Amino acid sequence: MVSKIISDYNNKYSDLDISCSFHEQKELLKSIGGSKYLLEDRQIPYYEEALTFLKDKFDTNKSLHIENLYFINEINDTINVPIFCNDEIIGIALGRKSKIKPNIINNVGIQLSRFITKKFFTKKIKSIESRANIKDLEFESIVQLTNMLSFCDNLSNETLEYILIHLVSLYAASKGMFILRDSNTNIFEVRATFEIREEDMPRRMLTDNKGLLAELKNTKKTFLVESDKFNLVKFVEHNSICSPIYFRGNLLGCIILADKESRKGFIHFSDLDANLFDSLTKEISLTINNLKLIDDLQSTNNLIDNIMTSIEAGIIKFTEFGEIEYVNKKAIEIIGIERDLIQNQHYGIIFADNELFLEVISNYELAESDNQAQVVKNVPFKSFNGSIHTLDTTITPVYDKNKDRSGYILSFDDISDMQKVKTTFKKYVSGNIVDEILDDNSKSDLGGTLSDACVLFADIRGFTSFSEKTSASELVSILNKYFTEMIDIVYEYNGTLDKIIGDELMVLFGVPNNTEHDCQNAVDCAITMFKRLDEFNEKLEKSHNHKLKIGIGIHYGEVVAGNIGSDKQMNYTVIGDNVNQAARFCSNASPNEIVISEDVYKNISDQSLFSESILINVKGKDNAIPVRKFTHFSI
Amino acid sequence: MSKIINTEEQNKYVVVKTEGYFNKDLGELVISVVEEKVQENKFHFILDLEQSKIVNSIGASILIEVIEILQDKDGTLSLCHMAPIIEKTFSIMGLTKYCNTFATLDEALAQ
Repeated sequence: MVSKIISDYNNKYSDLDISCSFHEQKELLKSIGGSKYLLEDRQIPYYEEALTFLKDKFDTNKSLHIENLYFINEINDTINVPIFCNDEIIGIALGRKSKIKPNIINNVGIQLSRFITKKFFTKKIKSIESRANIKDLEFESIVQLTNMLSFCDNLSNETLEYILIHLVSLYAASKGMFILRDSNTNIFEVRATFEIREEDMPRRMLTDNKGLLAELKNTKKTFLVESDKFNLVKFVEHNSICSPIYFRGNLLGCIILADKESRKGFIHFSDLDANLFDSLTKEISLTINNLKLIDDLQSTNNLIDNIMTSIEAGIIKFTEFGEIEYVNKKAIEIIGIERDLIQNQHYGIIFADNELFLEVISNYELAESDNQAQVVKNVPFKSFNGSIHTLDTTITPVYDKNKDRSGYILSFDDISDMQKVKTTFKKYVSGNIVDEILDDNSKSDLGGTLSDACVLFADIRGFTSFSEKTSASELVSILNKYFTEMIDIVYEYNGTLDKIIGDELMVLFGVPNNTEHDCQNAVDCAITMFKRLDEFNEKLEKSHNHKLKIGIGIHYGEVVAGNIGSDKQMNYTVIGDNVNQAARFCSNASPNEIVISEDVYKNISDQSLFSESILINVKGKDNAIPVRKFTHFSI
Repeated sequence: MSKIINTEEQNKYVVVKTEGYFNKDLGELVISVVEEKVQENKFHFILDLEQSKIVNSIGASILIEVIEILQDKDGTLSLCHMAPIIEKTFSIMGLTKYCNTFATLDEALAQ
């Protein structure tokens, strides 16, 4: 373009021999962007003279290059004007003094100055723009890397390679290496590389006792390393930058970037590079530490989960705000919906349909009872799949490291099966005995203890003649109905059904659990039996034209109570003279009559219901025994 | 290591396929191929970056030089199979404003 400007003038004004020269080709190239406008033809005559002239003119030792040499023949016959670029003279325009007018050569100078200045600024702007783009790229890479790190959820080799590649690209490095310490062996391992040849890989075991890793451990800083300083960086051809990854003073690894590129070749990493790299590796350290902590936490969670899964009780951990934070496998089974639907929900929502279960939790929450575990048994629970459970619950507070309550744990045992067993068991054995045995295993051992007990016998009078007139199936049906009514009364008064002997009931009060009211309960039970029998008889009379009548004997005294039989089959019962005596009283009792001993009489409140003491003879006793009688008057 | 794995002429295009890190070395290999082909009056190039998944700023700068050379000759540079990270880099460097980008080589050839 410079040539064109000059040749245009030379064509317009013939024989002007306008020419120009520049201080340095490099200067011009820099200014106008790498053009090949300049001529440097040493074959042209007077070339040397022209150079000498121009050097004198500008008082410079800089090399000069000449665009045109038309003027050279008469070198002293020249007129010149400076060529400016950004207010600096960078060259000169020349013309033949004898032929050119000053204003023309001035115009040439101005035009060339404008052109070159414009080119200079265009190039400069382009260069600034390019540098800005590179900074933009660096910024974008940092953002991308930071984003990637924040979403990073594992420490796989692929992840580390991804981080390394980003860093290599960001720093226009040629090679890179990512080293991390194995948490089990404490040996450092190369986990990712970029453009490093196999033969340049470290052969020795890497520790932080010596070499580059030791230096990183001690300094904890990013630094620039020359290629020959450490064995570990022998892959570096020019120089490298190394940055430690550490946590709480412990070196976890390092990242090495090597051989920074530029358009002109390899260049050194700058201090700015080191500072930025240091910040980035700190970010990476943080991510790695977070991931390690997450791994540890996950391992701990897995351990807890395994333990919790192996526990046969349901476990629910609530936050202080009543949200369900953790629920174990057994609890999920009992509740009957998936874990995801339970976790993070408020218990009030999940257990809305289980009023009593809800009460257990909310009462505890409201009570704010510190340190106290609260046990609530036999809590009914309806699961989401419709199954019904009976739960024994225990709720305990949980404290954080500051000893502030951070929530509570509810554990519950599903005792539904136990309840079924109990219910079935109680059909065969008195409920009191079932509870006693289930609460204390030793109670199922053979053997007995001396206890005070009130023993009641109730026998149907005239049953043999009735049975002769009634079919067996009808008889069983009537007896079952009779016993159902009577046994219900026994339970109402906390009696223990010992056995049914034909048409006779044997009932105990005071064993296995004694109370102050055992005698009173036995008497009340007997009186109620008569009343209930009246009702029963009303129906029986209608159906079979018959009424059952019973006689009852009750005695209170010391008995041997316990399991009698063998390991394979045993009965809880009482034995002893006092038992026999109660049976004798029953035999002595007329229909609708209760015969009680003086020992019973002494222990009841409404004594007026009984007769004065009378003496009766009973089988097996030499002397008459004082008893009192109650007579029931049927409706 | 970074390299050019294939250079072939298809229709009016010179297709250059690269492999590895698109850095200064690979950029210079590409620019020398372009200069050589320009001498043979081939001015339309497609750079297939399928095997190059990462680029640095120096590699991108060299591609800008390639575009300048081709623009002087009214030529074109098309890019295909760019990994997202490369596409983003080229976009930031202002390179994609002066060249066509395609998802596949077939699309680039059919332009």
